[in-house]
Amino acid sequence: MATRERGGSPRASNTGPGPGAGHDRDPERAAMLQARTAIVATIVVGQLWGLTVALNRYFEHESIALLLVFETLSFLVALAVWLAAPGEH
Amino acid sequence: MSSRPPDTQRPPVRALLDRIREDAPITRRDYLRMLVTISGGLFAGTAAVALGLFRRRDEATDREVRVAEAIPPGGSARFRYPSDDDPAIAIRLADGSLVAYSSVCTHLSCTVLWNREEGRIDCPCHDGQFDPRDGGVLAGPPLRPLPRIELVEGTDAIWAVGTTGGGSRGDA
Repeated sequence: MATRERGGSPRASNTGPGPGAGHDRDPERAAMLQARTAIVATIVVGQLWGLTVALNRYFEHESIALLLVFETLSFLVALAVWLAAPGEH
Repeated sequence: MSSRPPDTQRPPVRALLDRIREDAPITRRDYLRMLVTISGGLFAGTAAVALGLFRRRDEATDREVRVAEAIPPGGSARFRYPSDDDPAIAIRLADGSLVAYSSVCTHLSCTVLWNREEGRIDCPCHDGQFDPRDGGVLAGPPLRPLPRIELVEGTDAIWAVGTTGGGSRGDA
C-alpha cells in the first residue's frame, strides 16, 4: 500500500482537515466579484454608447479620435478589473 | 465518481468549456469574463470604425453615371451611385431644381421613396421623413441626413458626377 511505502500509518500521513477548515478565509470574496461585475457592466454600457456616437460621427465625416481613446481606456480598465478579481478557490 | 481534476489544475479556458459541456451553472467569474470579452469586442468595433473599414455611401468618387434623359417637375428617377450596389434617387422639385440622394435610409437602411403629394422623401419602414431640398431629417427616427449626390444636367441627359455630405438636420 502507498501509506506503507511512505513508511507511516494512514493516520500519520492523512491527518484530515486542519484547524479552521471549512471556514471561508475570504468572506468578502463574493462581494468583490459582484462589485467587479457591476463595474465592468457599467463600462460596457458606456462603450455601447461610445460606439453608437462614433458610428454617427464617422458617417457624418467627423473625427472619432476622442471616442477611440475613450473605448480603449474603457477596455483597459475592464481588463484590469477582471485581472485583479479574486482567483478560483 | 468523477475523474475530472479540480478547476485549479486546468487552464481557465479549458475549465470554462468543461463546465459549459456539463451544463454547470455559470459562475460570477464567468459573467465577468464574458463582460470583459464584450468590452474587448466593442473596443475592436470602434477601432474598425476609426480605421475606415465601413464604407460610406457618400465617399468621393470620379465615376459618372447617366441618371435619366429628363425628369419632369415633381417627378423622380432611380439610379445607382456611386457603385452599382448603392440605390439612389433623383428628384425634380416643383421649383425646377434638380436634387439626388442615396435612397438608403440612414436609420436602418430601408429604401426611401419620393412622396410627390407631400413634397418630401419618406421611409416606409419607420416613418422617417427627409427634406428633399437638402436631405435633412424632418421627422422620425433617422439621425443623419441622406447622403447627397451631385448632378449635372447635360443637353442629352442628367448625369451623377459626385457625392457630398447631406444637409443639416431639419427642424422637425
